[in-house]
Amino acid sequence: MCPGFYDEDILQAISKMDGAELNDCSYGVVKMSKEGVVQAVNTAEVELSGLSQSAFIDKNFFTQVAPCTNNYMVAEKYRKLDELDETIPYVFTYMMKPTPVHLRMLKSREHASQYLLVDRADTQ
Amino acid sequence: MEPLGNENERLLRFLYLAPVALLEIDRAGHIHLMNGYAAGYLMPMSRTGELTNLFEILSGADIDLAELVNESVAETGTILKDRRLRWAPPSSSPLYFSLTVERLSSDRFLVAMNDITVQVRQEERISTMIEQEALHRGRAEIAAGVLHDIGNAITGVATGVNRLLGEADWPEEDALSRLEGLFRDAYDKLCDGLGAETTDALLRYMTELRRTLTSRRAELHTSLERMAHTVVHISEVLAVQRQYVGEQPDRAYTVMPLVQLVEDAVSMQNAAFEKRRVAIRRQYHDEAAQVAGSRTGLMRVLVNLLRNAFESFDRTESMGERFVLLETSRSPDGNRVRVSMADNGGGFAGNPEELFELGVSRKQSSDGIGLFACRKIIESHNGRLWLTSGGPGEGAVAHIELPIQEE
Repeated sequence: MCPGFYDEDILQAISKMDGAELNDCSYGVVKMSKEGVVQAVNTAEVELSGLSQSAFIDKNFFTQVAPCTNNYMVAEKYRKLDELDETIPYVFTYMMKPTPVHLRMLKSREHASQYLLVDRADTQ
Repeated sequence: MEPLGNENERLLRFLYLAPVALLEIDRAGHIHLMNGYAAGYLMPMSRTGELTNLFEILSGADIDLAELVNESVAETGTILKDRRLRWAPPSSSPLYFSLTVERLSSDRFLVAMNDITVQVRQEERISTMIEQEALHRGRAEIAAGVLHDIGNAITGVATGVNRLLGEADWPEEDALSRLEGLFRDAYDKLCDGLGAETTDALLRYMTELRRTLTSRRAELHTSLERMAHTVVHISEVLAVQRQYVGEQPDRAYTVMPLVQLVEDAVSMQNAAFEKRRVAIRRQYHDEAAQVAGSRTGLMRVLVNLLRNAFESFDRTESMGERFVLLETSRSPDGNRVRVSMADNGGGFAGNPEELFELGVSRKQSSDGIGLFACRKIIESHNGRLWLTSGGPGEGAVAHIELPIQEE
């Protein structure tokens, strides 16, 4: 059962989920190492982006997959903060089209991986 | 949504990851297509958190993109090419972009933006350095003129002093001595005419007058010798100063002993050290090591570091002995020579590397070239310059290491 995008303890829940369980989520989930290398991406994010999974896996998310996030609003926060749980409105460029989304940035000292959750703003 | 076919995905990724912001807008500025870099650049610039209209996002820029787009008349073609756009965020430094706009059709425009903020800031730093260099050259020209005039005046003084020194005997003294002799020869006749008492008084007066004249001549000679010595010293200092101030770029690179350079720098700053009662100590373990480079450039660095050393005593209330220790030594492999200037003055706290940033100084006012320029000069000689300090009140050491030039 996938937790809701805005659930309070989402990091605890999502960090215990395997790939199949992540695919149950209606919002996009990108699981990364603390260096930003993509370890897993769920079906929703793959479908949103129009890219295949191989375009994500083992790539640096901020520089090789989504350079639109490589600024102080997103990537810098992951780089600078050890504890991060922040939701911001943002614009992704799915299929080169500006697409309003909500990003939830999750990172904790307790967990080896960090997560970026992507919810299309126009689906709410 | 199914993933795209391989070719389409490849094309999409190519456009999406192109390291330049690409956007398609219409005549009203509405964004229809954009790649990843465009979103990355523009999101922090958007005041609404949306990326819908490029004209609105760039409304604080120094180029009115809406006007340029709407005034374009050609059906297709370049509207703007590599124009520098300055955009100032409300509370931080301005960002700079290189902007190109192509008209694709009557209502479609391709906008390419590249963040050139780093290059522009580098240009600004270089421009500041060029201004500093020009200022220094201007000062150097004035200094060269002043030194030339002082040199001419000193030459005149030296000529006069030498002429006076060359006058070994005074004819007046000799004439007085002969007159005294004549008076003694005619003592009896003078006694008959003037009386013995008056004659004796006259002879005593003449003898005293001759002795006084002789003594005055000796004193004057001693004073003139001292003055000649001082004039020679002034001439030597002027010669050293003129050698550095007047150096021409086309003969800037020379091979010279590093210790000689250090001593020249010390001679230029001697008065300042004496004024602050700072002793100079020397431990030259390698006096023969020669370095190749710009005599003027290296001298500017050494003078600047010496100035930092003696000015550091202005920041300390220590009443103990003040000194600057100059040391030279050769690296174990024999290829490099190191000179260090250690003072027991004010020292400093924090990371020494921050002092090498442009515009950073420990001094309230600075007319020196600054540590930023000093390091640039030393690095241009394939050398290293760094500072160490035990902390405030613990003194500081400036280290320079340069390759040794074998003749």
